[in-house]
Amino acid sequence: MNVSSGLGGQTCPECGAVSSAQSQFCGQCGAGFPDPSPEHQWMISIPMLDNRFMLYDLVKLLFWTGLIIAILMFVMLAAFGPGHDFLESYFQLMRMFAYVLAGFAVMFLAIMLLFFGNRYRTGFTVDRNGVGWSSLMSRSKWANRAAVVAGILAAKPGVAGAGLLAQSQEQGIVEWDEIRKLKFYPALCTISVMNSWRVVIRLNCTPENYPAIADTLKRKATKAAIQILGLMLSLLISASQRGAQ
Amino acid sequence: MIELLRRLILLAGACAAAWLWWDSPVTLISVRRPDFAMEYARKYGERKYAFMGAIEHGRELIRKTTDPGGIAEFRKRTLSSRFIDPPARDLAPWVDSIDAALKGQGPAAPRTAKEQVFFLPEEPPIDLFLPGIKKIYGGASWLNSYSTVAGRDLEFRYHPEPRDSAAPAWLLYPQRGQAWIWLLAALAVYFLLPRAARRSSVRHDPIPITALDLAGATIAAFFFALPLFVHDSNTDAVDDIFGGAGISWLVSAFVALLMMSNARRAAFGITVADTGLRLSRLTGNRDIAFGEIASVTPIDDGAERLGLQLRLTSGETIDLKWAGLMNFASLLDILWRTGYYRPGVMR
Repeated sequence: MNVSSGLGGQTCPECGAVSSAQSQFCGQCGAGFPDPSPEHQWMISIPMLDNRFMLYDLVKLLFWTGLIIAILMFVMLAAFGPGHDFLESYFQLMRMFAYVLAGFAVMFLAIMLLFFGNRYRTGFTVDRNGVGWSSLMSRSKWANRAAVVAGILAAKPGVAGAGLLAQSQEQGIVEWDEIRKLKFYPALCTISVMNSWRVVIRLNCTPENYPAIADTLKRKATKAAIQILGLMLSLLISASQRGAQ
Repeated sequence: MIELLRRLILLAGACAAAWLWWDSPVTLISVRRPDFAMEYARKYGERKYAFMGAIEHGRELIRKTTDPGGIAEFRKRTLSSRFIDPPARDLAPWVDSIDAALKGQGPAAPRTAKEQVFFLPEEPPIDLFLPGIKKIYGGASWLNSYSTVAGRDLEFRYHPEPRDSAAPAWLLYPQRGQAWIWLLAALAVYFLLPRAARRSSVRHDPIPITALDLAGATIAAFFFALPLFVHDSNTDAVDDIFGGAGISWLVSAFVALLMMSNARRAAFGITVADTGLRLSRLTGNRDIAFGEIASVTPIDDGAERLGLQLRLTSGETIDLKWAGLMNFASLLDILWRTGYYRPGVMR
C-alpha cells in the first residue's frame, strides 16, 4: 500500500488527508499509518502437515467442537428426548457425531495436503504498530472469494459467511498493547503471540532471523506492558485524587 | 531403512487387525428342533384380531373352506418337500447335545442364539448333511431343509450371509480376540524400534511425524477395512477387487505411500560436529568433512529464503531446506564459526 503523498508527507489510506512524513497517525481521522521502515519483514512457506502447531490447532478445534456438541446434545436429550433409553440414544448420537468429526479431520488433512500442497506462504511484519501478517497464497484467496460467490449463488449463507470469515483473516495485526504473553520455541523458530485468552498469531521465523525477532518482541512487548501499567497507575492516582477532593 | 520398516510394520499390523476383526465364515448352518404344532397353528389356526383387514378376512375364508389336514399331515408334507436323508451313523448323542444346547446346557450351549444352534459347514457331523442342504438350496433357493435323526426332527437353516444371522459373535468373528494383539504388537514395534535421527542435531519435528504416522495408519486401515465391513465376508471383498473394494484398497495404498514419505522425513538428520557434518537419510549416512565444502550459498525463492546449498569440492551440491527442521540454527552457527556462511540481512 503506497501512502506517500509525494510532497514529503503521507496520505491517509482511510480519509485521504495528508499528514507529515513523521506522523504515526492521521491528523484528520486518527487512523494509524503503516510503518514505512518495519523492523522485520519476511515471508515464509509454513509447512502444514508436519507442523505441530497446525496439528495442535486442528485437534483443539475438533475437541472443542465435540465437547460443545456433547454438552448441547446431553441437555437437549435430557429435556426433550425419550426418558427410558436416554443413555443409549445419547451414545448413539455421539458415536455418529464422532464419525462426522473424524471425517472432518481427514478432510482438513486432505485439504492441507492436496489443495495447499502442504505449504502456506505467509508474510510477517514487525513494526512500530505491532505484529502483522498477510496471506500470500493466491489459491487460498481465490478459494475464499469463490466460497463467498458460490454461497450467494447457491443461497447458502453458511458457505458465504465462511468465505467472508476466512477473507477477514487473510491479513491482520496484533498491536503491541494487545499482546499479553509470548511463548518462544527456539528449536522450531516459532513465537506464539497471545492476547489475554488465546494465541492470536504464531510467528514462523527462519533460523536466520529468529534471534533478532525474538529480541524485538521481548523488548517491544515489555515496553507496551510498562506503558499500560503506567497508564493504569496514572488513572488510579487521578481517581484517588478526585476522591480526596 | 529402519524408518520404512517401522511404518510398514505399523501398516501391516493395523491392516492385519482389520482383517482379523472382520474375518467371518462364508456360510453358516443353524440347527433347530421344528415345532410343527406351533407352525401349524400359526399357518392354519383361527385368526382373532381386534381389527381384521381384507387380507385377514380372506385368509380366514380360505381356512374355513379348505382342509389343510392335521398336524401329522402338515409335518409329512413339509418334510417331504425338503428332506435330507440322514447319514448312516449313530447321531443320537449329537441330537441330545442339540436338545441340551437349546435348553442352555452342555458344551454346545454357547453356540445357541434365538433357538438355533449354529455350526460351521465343515464341522462334523454338519458336514455330513451339507451336500443335501446345498442341493436343496441350489435347486430352489430354499434356506430351510429337514431331516429326521434318531427319531427326532431337525430343521437346518443355510446362512449364505452369516453376518445377517443371529449367530453368536465368537462364531461369527472368531479372530477378533487376536486382532488387538496384532495391533498392539505393531504399535509396540513402531515405538520401540530405534529412531534413525534421534541423535541428530538437526532433524524434523518428531511430534507431527508420529501424529501423522498414527493418523495415516488409521486412515489406511479404515479404507482397507471398509470393503471387509461392507461385504458379507472377507472372501467376498477379495472377489470384488476389480470393483469398489479395489478402489478402497487403492485409497488405502495411497495413504500408505504418504506415510512412506513421512519415513523419508523421519530418517533425515544432520549431526553437527567440530570436524564436519553427518547427513542421515533413508538410504544411509554420509559424512562430510568441512574441508570438503567449497562454498555455502543461500537458496532463495524470490524474496523468501528456503535454506542453504552446500557446494562440495567435488562439484556436487547438497540442498538443505529448513522448512520443518528443528535446531537448524545449530548448523548455521557451526557454518558461521567455520567461516563458510555469513547470515544475510534479516528478511
